[in-house]
Formats: sequence, C-alpha cells, structure tokens
Amino acid sequence: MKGHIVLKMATRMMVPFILMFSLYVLAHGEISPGGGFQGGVIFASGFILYGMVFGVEEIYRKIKRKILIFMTAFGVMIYSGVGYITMFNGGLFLEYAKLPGLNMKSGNSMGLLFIEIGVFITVSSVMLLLFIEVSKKYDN
Amino acid sequence: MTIVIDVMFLTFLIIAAFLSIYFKNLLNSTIILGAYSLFVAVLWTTLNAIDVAFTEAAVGAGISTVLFLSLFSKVEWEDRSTPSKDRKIIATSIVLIVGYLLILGITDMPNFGDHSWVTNTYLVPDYLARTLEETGSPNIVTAILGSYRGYDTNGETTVIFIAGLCVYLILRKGEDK
Repeated sequence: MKGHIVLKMATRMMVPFILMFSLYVLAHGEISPGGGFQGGVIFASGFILYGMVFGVEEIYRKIKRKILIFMTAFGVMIYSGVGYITMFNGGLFLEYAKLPGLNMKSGNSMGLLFIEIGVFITVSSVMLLLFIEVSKKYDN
Repeated sequence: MTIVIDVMFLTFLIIAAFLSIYFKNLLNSTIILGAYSLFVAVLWTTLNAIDVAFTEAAVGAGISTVLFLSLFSKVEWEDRSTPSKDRKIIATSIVLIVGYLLILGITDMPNFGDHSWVTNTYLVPDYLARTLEETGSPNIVTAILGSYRGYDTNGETTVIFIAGLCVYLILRKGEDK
C-alpha cells in the first residue's frame, strides 16, 4: 500500500489544507470552537499523514529533530513569557490587561492569542516527536 | 427526535466498549477504541460541548489511534494470556461493586438542563454575564481556559512538554551518546 500513486497524490493535495485548517482553528479559537490544543493536534496529524504515506524519516527531512525538540520548549517559553512581560509591566502573572500598550479588552484578546500560539507550538511538536520516535525503525 | 439519536449512540458506545475488551487481537481493539471516541464526540456535540467534542475527535479518534497503531510495530499485538478462574471471579465482583456504586452516584446527579441546580445558579450566570465584557471573547470556554484559569493552562502546557520529553528520552535510550 505504501507508495501507491493515488495515496501519494491525495496526500500531497490534502496536507496543505489540513495545515491551513489547523491555523484557522488556532486563530479563531477565541470566537469559535477550537484553540491552541486542538489546532496543534490537527497540525501534527497533517504531518503524521505525510509521514505514514511517504515514510517516517521523510518528516525529519522537512523538520530537523533538534528544531522539533527546541519547539516543545519554545511554546512553554512563549506562554510563560507573556506572564513575565505582564509582571515586569506592573501587573500580576498572566494579567493580560497589563500587556504593554493595550487596555483591558484588547490586552485580553492579544494575550489569549499569544498563549494559544504557545500551546499550539508545544502540543504540535510533542505529538509529532512522539509519533516519529515511536514508529521509526531502529537504525542500529 | 433527539432521544432516538441519544439512545442509538449510547447503544453504539456500549457495544464499542464491550468489543474493545472482547477482542484478543489488540489491533481490532485499537480500531474499536477509535470508533468509541467518535461516538463520544457525537454525544458531546448533542450536549452542545463543541470544544470537548473537537478535542475528543482530534485526540481520541485521531492521534491516540495512530500512536497505538505505530506502537504495534515494536510490541506484540496478540494477547495470549489466559487468566485463571479465581482472577476472573475477583475481577467480575470488583466490576459489579464499582458499577453499583456508580449507579448510586447517578441518582444524585441533576436533571439535564436543570436551571435551578446549584452549579447553574451562581457561577455559570456570573461567567456568562462577565466574560464578553471583560475579555472580549465570545467563546467562553477559551476565555475561561486562557484568561480566568490561565495558571492551570500554563501548568497543562508544561506537563505536556515534560511528558513528551520524558517519553522521547526513554525511546531514545542508548541510541546515540
């Protein structure tokens, strides 16, 4: 089944739309169902589909493993970083109203977007890392 | 009409849960578990819990099924264990006792959509009134998760990060120094 031409062409066409849909879910998490977690999982599943059809090692050719591991920590850093920015700006930890240059309403919507991006990056890279490491063959 | 759909999907749910344990072949059980997650997602949708349904469909029916399936390339997926008769009796009695306690618990639950129930009288209307005005976010679930309960979500993200890192370290044990 692997390497079948229909499967390959269908995957090539579908993966960009899956990735785009994940970004849509992330960006509209505030006004419609969804958010960082769901978007991250959909993003990871797009790459997982690619890996299942073209071989798992192909994913590492698109995203280096070191970058993937860095991304898992980077998402947490964005999330906590928003908290620290508000703290240094005179508020409490994660008090979005104290984000620089924003009032209560716009600060909340920007802060929510930033932390959702953090969750998105962490969740998608963790799911992808687990899938690749579980399913790839031992090479030694 | 909704009651027909509810009963139908709850029946599917019970059948799927039974079959996932009944099969000795773990490959079949995994597929059935994916179907189980899909039925649960539909039920969440009928209860208007769209965010939960979304997560259930993406994680339960999608990612976890794929992770289980890819795990079978490394482990045995045929269950060859034959439990003794004593263990079967103990397991059945534990299941019956716990099931009886759960059914006792159900009698204390509120009726579906009961406006006068205690959790629906002071906290829920408060959030419904305040959220749009304070955070500007029409999706109250996201607003509560990200804004009112921001610390919890921060902890959750850290847990996912640490868990992923731990599994990665275990899987790569002894591969490259």
